[in-house]
Amino acid sequence: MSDALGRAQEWLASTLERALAEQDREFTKRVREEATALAGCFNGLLRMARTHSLDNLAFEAPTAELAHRLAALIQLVGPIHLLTVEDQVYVNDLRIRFETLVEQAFSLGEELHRHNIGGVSFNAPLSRSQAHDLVRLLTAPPAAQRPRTTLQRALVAAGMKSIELHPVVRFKVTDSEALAASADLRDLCREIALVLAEAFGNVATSRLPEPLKARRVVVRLIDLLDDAPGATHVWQLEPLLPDFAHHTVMVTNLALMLGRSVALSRTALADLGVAAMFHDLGFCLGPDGPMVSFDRHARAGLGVLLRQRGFHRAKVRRLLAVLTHHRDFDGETGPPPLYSRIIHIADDFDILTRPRARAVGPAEALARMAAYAGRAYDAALLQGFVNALGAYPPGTKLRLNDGRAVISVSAVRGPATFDRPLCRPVGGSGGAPVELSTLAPVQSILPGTGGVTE
Amino acid sequence: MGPAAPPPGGGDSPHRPPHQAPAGAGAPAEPDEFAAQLLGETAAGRAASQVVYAFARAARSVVLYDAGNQAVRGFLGELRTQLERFLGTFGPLSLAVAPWQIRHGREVVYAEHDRERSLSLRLYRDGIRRVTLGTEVSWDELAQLLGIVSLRFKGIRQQEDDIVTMMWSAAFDHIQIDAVEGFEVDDDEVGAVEGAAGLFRARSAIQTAILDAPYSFPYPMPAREGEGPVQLRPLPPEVLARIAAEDDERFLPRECVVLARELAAALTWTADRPEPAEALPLLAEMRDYLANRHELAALVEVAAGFDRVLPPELAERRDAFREACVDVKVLRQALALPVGEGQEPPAPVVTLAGLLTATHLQTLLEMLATGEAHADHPSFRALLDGAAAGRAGLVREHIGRGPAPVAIELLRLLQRTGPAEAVEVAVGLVGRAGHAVQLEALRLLRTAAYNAHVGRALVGALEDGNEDVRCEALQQLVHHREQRAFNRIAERLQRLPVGVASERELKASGAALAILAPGEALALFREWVHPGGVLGRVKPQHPPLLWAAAGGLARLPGSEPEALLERLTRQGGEELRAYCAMILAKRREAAGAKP
Repeated sequence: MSDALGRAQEWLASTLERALAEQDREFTKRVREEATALAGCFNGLLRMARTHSLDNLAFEAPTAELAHRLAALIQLVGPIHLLTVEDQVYVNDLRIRFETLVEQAFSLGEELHRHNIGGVSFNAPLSRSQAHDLVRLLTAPPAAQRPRTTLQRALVAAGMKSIELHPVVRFKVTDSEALAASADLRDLCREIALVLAEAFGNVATSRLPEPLKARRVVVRLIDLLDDAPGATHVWQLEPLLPDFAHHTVMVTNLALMLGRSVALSRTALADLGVAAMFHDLGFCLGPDGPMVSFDRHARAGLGVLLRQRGFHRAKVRRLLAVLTHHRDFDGETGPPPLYSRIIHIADDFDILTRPRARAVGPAEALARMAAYAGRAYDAALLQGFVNALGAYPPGTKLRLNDGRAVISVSAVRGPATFDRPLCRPVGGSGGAPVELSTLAPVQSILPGTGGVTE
Repeated sequence: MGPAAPPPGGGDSPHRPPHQAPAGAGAPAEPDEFAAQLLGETAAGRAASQVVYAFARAARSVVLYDAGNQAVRGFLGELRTQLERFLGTFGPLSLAVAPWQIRHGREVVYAEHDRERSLSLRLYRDGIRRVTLGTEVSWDELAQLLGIVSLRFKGIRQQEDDIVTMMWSAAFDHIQIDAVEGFEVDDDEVGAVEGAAGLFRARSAIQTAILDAPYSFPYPMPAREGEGPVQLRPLPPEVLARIAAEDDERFLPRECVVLARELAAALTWTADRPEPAEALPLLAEMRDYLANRHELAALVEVAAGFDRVLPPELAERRDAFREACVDVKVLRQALALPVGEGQEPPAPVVTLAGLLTATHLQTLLEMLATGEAHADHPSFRALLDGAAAGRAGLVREHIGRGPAPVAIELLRLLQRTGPAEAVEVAVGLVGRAGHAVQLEALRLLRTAAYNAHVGRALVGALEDGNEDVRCEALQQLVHHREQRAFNRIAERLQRLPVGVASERELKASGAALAILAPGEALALFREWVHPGGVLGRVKPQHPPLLWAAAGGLARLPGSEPEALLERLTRQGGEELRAYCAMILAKRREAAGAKP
């Protein structure tokens, strides 16, 4: 028993030490202070508006303070998301504690809920007069029908397009069942897009992207891969995503598939996924906004990412991945780090197959990459990639002996299905996909690439 | 889990946990902190309450104690005991988490409204809604869970993980966690979604630009000609093991080395170059991580690799980068490395010595001054020499500050690393510093190139209050045949009161006169031993001069010196007469022995 207890103590000590090393105490303290001040100011203004006319000059100073606090916090962390959930108030995931009894007694959540609002996102600073208008609109009687939508329109009309109102929410509890329904995929895609947009937007304005937000999304992607044989969902995500996210999300999923294929640990998969989500962040630092040139993108993001304080294994590997994900395996500087080699494979595969001039079909892309095993690509990792995608990766168009054309919609589902993906007829109207082995033999692989819903 | 041990304190009654105060520490938090408050109505409920409170105590204990403390061990032991008892009696333990309570079935088994102490609030706030421990749960799994929850009690704000992602990563086999996964919209205002674009609303200008960006994929196609085989080939276990090894945390030091090199190379870019100051915190973080894991070789490689690649235009910032890589903890670890055979410092120490700055030198000098390090330790000497190279001025500043042993070591250091400056310093110390330091300075001057500057210092040392210093100065003046010192030596002898100088010094002074200028010396000795004139015959003889004459005459050949020695055997004190007789006897013996 004593060894077990000692082990537990060692585990406790190392967990704490690692977490302490990861902290950016200074930054966190500043964010917490600013967020608490902002929430307190907002809370106070709404409370004050209950008992005083907004025309009162007494509102000048607090509305100016609200605008100032908001600007300061946006400068620090980017878009601010104030959320009230089941009597708790969060500002960007930080739970805000209202200290005084007066503050506690006045429920910010209840005030917002009058308009069917659960939270407010501030994507840009407000002027003092805009802050004043915001308070006026929030403290006005709610519309009888669709109060939040009405208020959102009013904000837009008042020139406050950067404010987004969120519905009332409650915590959702799930168990470990797969999110297989399309409604859930849509929800996931929305979350991915918002996380990525915020990450890219932050980098573009020289702020740090938030790895934890990306990790939460990546964890869901990994769970989907665990529960979806053949990863058919991966190729169903793109229509649900905005254009800018297509490549990043595909590379992330492909990297995760490769990582699973070579038995990376769950922690490593999550770290890899975040690295893949961020691998092209450097594109966002153009002199006039996005985008920098391809040649610069691997470097451009480094300066911003370096600002993340706190030592963490994931940060080290992510920085290396951002810097070196285009390097060849046999390059002058020696084999790149593991995550870089994985992302390189995933990245190149998507670049080769993404629909545009000179794009190639997935099967052909794999074959071309295979010719560079040991040179551009780590041979073992590339084999892992091949093992995961199969002989006919999703999107591969096949001509069957009976003249029909089908398209692969699944990756490898098990050891015996390497060359037996699920397929749909090309131009078919739908229906469940069937395994290739149940169809006529393959005559040839058709050139070109297409989405799996083609 | 193993068979349950009897609970500490016995019985089912509430009890204080079996903890001890940390040795040598102040009094721990008041015992009421951990007073058990068992809840539950049924036997299962009470047993569940025991487990939950034990878990809460253990998780919170790290706020008060170091994880390795005996008190923490006690809490862990109690937790294990209580859990084993529950699982063995009642089967799986399923707990529902509310903000201020934890329930087992319908029973409240934990309640705590103090925000600082509440386990339930911490779990709830981080999204946990239910925790189920299976009967097969291992102690290691439970310890992992405890570690994750402890982070929340410690108030550590992580950037990469939260409690939910950590629990996901842990992938417990026998612990089921039901957690919040986002929010559910609770209203009916959400309209029909119009494709991907409809999901997103207006945002900041930059996010709008990103979200609405038209499809554009300017990535150049990789040049991949030809085709290779695409076949299913399961990866052999050794290949997977190699990949796993690269994934392992033990590989991280190597990755730090690579990242440091990349970072230094990044500072040479002409475009998109990161600010040099941005690199410093990361270097310091890597340093702390590697130092905490005693990965000194990797740490030195980080520092050396970075230093090597640093572009010339950042040379003026080189010290800042070196100091980001090496701090006092690193120096201490370097000194703790075992020394090789032949007392050679280990290779990392040798490399490190070439990377040290003035700040490091200050640190090493302080370690020397406080006795933390010793100059005879090969690694310390190597580090000190490395840090002092080119910084003679700084060493010089410290010479006068510390105690004599330190000043002596610094003088020796200066002699090794800045010989010219060392001579200058030594000259300055002669006649001013304490006698031990002066002696060291004089010893240094023995091997220095002789010049008027040195000579003046030596002559000045003749007046020092310490005899050893005076004798050493005499010796060196004689060695260098500094005839200009003759008169000073003679004058000093003539004004010396009785009892100030020992016989050793007097004889040495006389010998010095005889060596520097034999003829003049003999005239002086004649006068001292056998003064001329009426006054000379009546004036009492001065013993110091007699001793000096004896010492000098012993060096001079010829009959007159011998006659004077003869005379001295009949005058002066007993010891002087005996000394002169001995000298004469030796001279006669030597003369008799000659063919």
